[in-house]
Amino acid sequence: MDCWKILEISHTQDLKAIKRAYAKKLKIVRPDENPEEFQNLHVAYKQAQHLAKQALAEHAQQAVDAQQESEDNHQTDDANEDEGASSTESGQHHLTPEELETQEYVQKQFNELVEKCNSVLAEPEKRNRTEEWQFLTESVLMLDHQINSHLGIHVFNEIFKVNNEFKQLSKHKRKYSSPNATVKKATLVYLNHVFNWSLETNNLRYYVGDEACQMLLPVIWEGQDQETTDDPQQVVKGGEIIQGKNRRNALEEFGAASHAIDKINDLFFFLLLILSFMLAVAALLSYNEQNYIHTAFFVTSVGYLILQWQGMKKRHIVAYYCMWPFSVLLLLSFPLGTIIGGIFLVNLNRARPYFKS
Amino acid sequence: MTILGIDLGTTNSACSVWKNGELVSVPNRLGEFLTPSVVGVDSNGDISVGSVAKQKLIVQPSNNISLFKRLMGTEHKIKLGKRTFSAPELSSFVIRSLIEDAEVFLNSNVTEAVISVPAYFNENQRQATKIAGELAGVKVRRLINEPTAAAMAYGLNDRQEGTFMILDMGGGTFDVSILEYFEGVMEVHASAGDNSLGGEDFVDAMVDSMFRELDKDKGSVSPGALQKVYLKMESVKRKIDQIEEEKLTFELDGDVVEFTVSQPWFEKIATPLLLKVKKPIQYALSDANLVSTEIDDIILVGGATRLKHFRSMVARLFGKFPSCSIDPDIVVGFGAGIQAGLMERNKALEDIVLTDVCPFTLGTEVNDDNGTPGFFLPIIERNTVVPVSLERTVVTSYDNQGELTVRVFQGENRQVAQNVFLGLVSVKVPKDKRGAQAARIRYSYDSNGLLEVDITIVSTGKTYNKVIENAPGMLSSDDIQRTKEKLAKIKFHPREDEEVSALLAKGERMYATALGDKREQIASILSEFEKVLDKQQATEIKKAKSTVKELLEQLDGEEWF
Repeated sequence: MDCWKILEISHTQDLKAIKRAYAKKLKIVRPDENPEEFQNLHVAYKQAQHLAKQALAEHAQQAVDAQQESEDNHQTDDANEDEGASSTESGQHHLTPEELETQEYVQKQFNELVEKCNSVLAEPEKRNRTEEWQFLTESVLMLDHQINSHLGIHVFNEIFKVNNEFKQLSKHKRKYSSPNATVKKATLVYLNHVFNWSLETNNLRYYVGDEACQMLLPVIWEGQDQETTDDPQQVVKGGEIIQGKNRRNALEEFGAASHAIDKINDLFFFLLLILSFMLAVAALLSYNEQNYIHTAFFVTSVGYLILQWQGMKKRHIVAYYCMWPFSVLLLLSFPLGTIIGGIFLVNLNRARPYFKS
Repeated sequence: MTILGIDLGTTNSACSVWKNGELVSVPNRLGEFLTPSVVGVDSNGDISVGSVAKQKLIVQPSNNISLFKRLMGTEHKIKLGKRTFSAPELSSFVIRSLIEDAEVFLNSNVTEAVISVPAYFNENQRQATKIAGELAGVKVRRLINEPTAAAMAYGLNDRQEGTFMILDMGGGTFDVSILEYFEGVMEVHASAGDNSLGGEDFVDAMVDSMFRELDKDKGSVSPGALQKVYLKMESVKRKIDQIEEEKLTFELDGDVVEFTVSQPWFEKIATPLLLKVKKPIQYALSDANLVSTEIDDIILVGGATRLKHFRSMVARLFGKFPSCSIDPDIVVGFGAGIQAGLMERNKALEDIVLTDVCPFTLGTEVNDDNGTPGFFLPIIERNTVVPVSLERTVVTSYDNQGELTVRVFQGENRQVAQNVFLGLVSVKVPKDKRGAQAARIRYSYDSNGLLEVDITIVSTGKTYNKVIENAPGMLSSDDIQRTKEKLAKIKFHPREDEEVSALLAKGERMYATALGDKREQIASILSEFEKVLDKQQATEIKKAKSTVKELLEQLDGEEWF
């Protein structure tokens, strides 16, 4: 696909021109009226932008390289002169007394927060109690991005040290250590709300290292997954809430039911195998005795099996009720049938909502 | 034919419409541009919406409800008095009231609407909003994302080109959108947000903190007393910038308690909530592939962005002050009106095109390599420009698999159980060895938020198609019709009386919350007013209305409108 052709302009690095061309075309190819063509146009637009930016960056790089080259030459020529000049220029920007004061104040506050974090972490009884960490969310300083991320990295590293120490212990010692020997999942998730570690993974990898990230981040992700939603009565004002079925529960129920149906299916094939084996044995035994009971058993078994098979396939409510007696019958034939029949009954019960009436 | 632009908010709603080639806000029956999203049932079983219900909420919390937008897309029901409603039904009352106002204002019928939803609303919540519109008797032409609407209002106002970040903190939701405006094109780059963060959360946190500090149990207080506490805290929140320290007196079921609010106290409470603001901003920036310095302007939308603490935090984050030249409360309603104008192909908007994104990832469930089910396979990644149609190929996961069930999910989690379930399609596949049969799953998502799933079995070329319209538990079109008939039978509070009822409700609310002398004063004003009403003489009532309104306003210490 040639993005320039779609945009109807020639190859260019002018970002403005690309935008103009896109805007012009977009007024003909309206997103609602012509979705496919619009999608092509949009892709072409993004591609053109990308190409132009890349080219511009290359140009800039070349320009910088060229300049550096000439500067290098220049510098060797009059290196002595440069030395004097650079020493005055490189002097840092001087802060006013007020700025210095606020900076000092912030630094002091920051150090206090670090101290507090360290002291909470140092005490096993405290480290897993969220009340002890509450001072963090109450400090206005935490709203500053830099301070937040610095402190976050520090705390992350400290937690890693604590948890790693525990990991290094022998199996026996681990078993008999206190329950708060490590920083637990709930605490990590709570602190993640403060420091947003799960968003700053690159930073953490850089400053704290891969090992710490691999140890702690999965725990945080897992914990995040398990967080529950609010109580519906709490979120509104007035009225009285009649709680409905949670969709997630309904989904889990569906999952359990389809799992149950699958299980019945599996069992059916297993059973078919056993029955055919039993029938073979029975047929062998009854060959001489002319005993009709075996034949009758054979016929009914096959009949039920067909019923079961059709029931699973059609998932019809009639089939569902017909499957019950079969399972109960199985329950009577001790010992193997009892176990299978039992599993059948439990799963039938669970799969009930997914049979159509 | 008129299309109405509706901002259906958590705490307040507004609407706007094109009239004589110009976009105008529609005033409600009380002459205000904001209608509180509160619904109430009175003793006759009639419905009242807006100010009346909002005032009554304090006195009779069991018959009135606000913030029900937070229950959209769930299956919870709400009992008001003797009646039971779902959240879309309650929203439909608000929409109906707005439509009536617009019809009176325009003197013509309104049959279609554009309704705004938080950008971060999931598909179930969007469907619920759509249903609410249909229950109110209008065709919902489009659901527009709130920050996009706000951006359109700004873009059209200033016609300034550049990249903008819109921060929309309303009563119950927080949305972030990054939008670029150039050459008449409004392109949304990314949307992110938090569905449970808004102005109301600050009030909740204040109330919780107060109960904690007083060492009292919030659950043991009667609902009426609790609503009064909420009301007081709401007005404290609104003027927190101006107070150094203030002593509040509450009556909690007999005991009179005192509590002192102050700036440092509020800061302590606000900080954890403001920390939550950062996350969606970072998400939006990284999805749009931008850094904070590339943002030309930050636009604030929604009542909660008036908070000084919020503004200074945003300023610190970006190193520049945010702008808000349009009233943050009505800007979304304005934007919805602009979208309505776009749908009508209004002359004034001929050269404007809007492209929006799908703020969530849409995908399906797959098994991992070990055969464990429950993993999420993204098909349309979040912040992809819409309308879009994309395809992924899956293979059967076990031998002799006869049926392939495509379950549609929305969300960002690796585990599907944590994402939002939208629907499912089951198709037959020829039985074969595990992995031998493949199916192409194509998702098509259009600007109206309609998701279509096409499944093609590769070996047979058979194609199955399903429009994911109603998530489980949602209403079918028959149900909608039936509910509509049911709702049509419910009477609304008569429109003409609304102003009088609003005044009486306000007076009663003030009487219930006031103490001592003030209380008697209010009682005497109300009884005088009632006497005038009994005489039923229009001119006298009109005169009395304005005096009572003034008197009550002087006495009312709460700022919550």
